[in-house]
Amino acid sequence: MNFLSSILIVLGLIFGLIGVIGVLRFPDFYTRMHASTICLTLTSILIIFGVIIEAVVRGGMDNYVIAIHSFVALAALLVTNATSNHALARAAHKSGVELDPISVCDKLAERKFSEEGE
Amino acid sequence: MIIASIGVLMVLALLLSIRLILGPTIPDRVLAVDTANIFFVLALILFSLYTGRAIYVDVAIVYALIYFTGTLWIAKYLEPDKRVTKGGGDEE
Repeated sequence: MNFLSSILIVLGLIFGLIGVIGVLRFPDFYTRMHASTICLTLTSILIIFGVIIEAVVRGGMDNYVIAIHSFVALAALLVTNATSNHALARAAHKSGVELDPISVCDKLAERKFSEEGE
Repeated sequence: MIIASIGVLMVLALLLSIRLILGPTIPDRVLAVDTANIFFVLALILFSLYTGRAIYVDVAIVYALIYFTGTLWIAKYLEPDKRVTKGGGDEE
């Protein structure tokens, strides 16, 4: 493999490791989701750009097809990851998953409470 | 190099099964499966580069879209149903 894509893929793996450590170690659901979403979006960007660069450097029809389809896969991953995590966080908040006791404020609960009061 | 990267991704997905087993709430488990699925998609793309066949990337795209749909369905059914708890009784 060429140098640049090796660097990109290794960086992506490091960020994936950070995300997994965050999912395992953070205290409540929302902080875990924050670690997972941010780190894994960056992981998918880095690894897929590494694959694209390597496929373009190798050349040939099959590798160009791999590069283009990897770009489509990156677009699908970016859209679906953000959307599904947003929906999951909202559903968890509505179904009553509680924040860690050290949390400072809960803006969504405050807004819901003021709407119900009116 | 590519096979080693796939191995690292699989080890990370295996580590997530700790959160899948321990997770105190249902959204924690869904989050663990969701995160592991992203690792599977990335491993499929790397495997496609290893074998030089583009069909595995297409499999990865379809897999990503299907698990996105699954997560949305689970999120929809996690929410409390407003028609049952609030709205339904008032109109009749």
